[in-house]
Amino acid sequence: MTITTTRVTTDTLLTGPVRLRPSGPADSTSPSVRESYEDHVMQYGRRPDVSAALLARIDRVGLLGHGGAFVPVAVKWRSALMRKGSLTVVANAAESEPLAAKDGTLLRQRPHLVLDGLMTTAQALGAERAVIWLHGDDVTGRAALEEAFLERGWSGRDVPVEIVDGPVHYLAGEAQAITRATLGGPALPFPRRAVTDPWAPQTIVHNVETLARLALVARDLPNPATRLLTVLGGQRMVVEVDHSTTVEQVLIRLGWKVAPQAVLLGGYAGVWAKWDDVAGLAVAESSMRAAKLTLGAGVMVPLDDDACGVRMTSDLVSYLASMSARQCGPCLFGLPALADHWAKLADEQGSCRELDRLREDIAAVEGRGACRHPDGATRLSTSALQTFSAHLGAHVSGMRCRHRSQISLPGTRS
Amino acid sequence: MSAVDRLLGRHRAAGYRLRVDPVVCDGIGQCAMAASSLIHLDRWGFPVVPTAELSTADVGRAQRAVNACPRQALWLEAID
Repeated sequence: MTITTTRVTTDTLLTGPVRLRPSGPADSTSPSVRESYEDHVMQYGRRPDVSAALLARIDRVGLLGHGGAFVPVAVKWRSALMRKGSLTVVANAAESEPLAAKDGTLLRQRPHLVLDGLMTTAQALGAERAVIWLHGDDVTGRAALEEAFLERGWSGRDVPVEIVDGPVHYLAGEAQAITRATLGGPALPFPRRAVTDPWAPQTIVHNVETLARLALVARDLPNPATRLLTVLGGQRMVVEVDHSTTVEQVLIRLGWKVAPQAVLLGGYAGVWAKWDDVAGLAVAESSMRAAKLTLGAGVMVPLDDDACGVRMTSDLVSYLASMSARQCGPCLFGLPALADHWAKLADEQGSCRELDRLREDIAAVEGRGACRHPDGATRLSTSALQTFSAHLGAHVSGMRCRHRSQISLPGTRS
Repeated sequence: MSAVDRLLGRHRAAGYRLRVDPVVCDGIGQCAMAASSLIHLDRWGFPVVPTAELSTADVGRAQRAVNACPRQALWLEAID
């Protein structure tokens, strides 16, 4: 065997695209390659020690979180360094969003890159614990990790890594819920009352993709200019595309022949966008945000021309209502109210008055929850009102909705 | 030092904002009775509190709402 001295670098995170089962963990139905520790070390070398310049480098590269909120990693690190309490670092691999699977796919394909990122963070911030947080039903993800643990060469400088199975719930992957769980509480989002004690135990949660990118940045390698996407068309696929790829190009690449009428961006608590507004946008989050949209954790669901967006929204909002943390009034009562309005509209039993009531309740719920979960439902509702305004007109005027085709959304009623 | 500051045992802040912890709140509604000009209840009985900084006159009213809550779900947040 010859060992090349020039380091081979790839410009992608995934070893290749995968086709997945329609719901649940990121179990591929197509062959997928897991990078062994040997291959990982061959390609990148062992994890370098943390240098003092790492935080400055992360700042310069502008590394952002990839869980959906796009918080700069440097911001999280600085706030963790300013506080004095014992620190837990979490790699969040729980994609509780029923469709999202890019993190699970990355974890299965490049576990050692993710582990490098986790341990680099733990070492840099002086953490006492490092945790990989999985969604409760991710049995194969856990198996892949355990396999990676066995083949990995651990050293004394590594903070011990625990694998923790979270609950099986929509909110199990929410960063605040994870924080609360690692501190010994229930895995439910925090209320917004801020912690002021600098000695209180603290938790920093990074998404799995963020950590993989961090592992590359820590080696002074370029952060790949790509975006990982989970797309639910006929099949659920995870692909990695260049930042500049447009939404239309992504769908063409996945074999779409006819333009959809709209696209759900970001998942169940995401936003609807009309096809004409989104087709030409690059998938980079900056281009999405410039158009006041977001792809969140990289989920895209194109809606066929003959599918009913009102019905889909109704299913999604009732799903979100069912997944409430049941902690606060605005969520516990407000989300079922929103779901009721949408169900009436979808069943063509509502009049224009129903639309007004829906708007009133959106305003009543918006921004008032203990966590951001209700805001996800109001944002989805608002975007649906805009995107499907013409079709909603047919629904409230007693004309029969002729859109009969359905996308089967895992976890929802239809 | 104002009455509010004395009650809270702290130095005078530049201003105050009324906050509610929606998890602790049970929708009992005492706050809306104690400060009806500031707080109204949504159609499920949960308080909608002003998000902007309170005027000096309103701070006293807000404090009455804070005191009225049997769940201690309301508090005055200092704005510095």
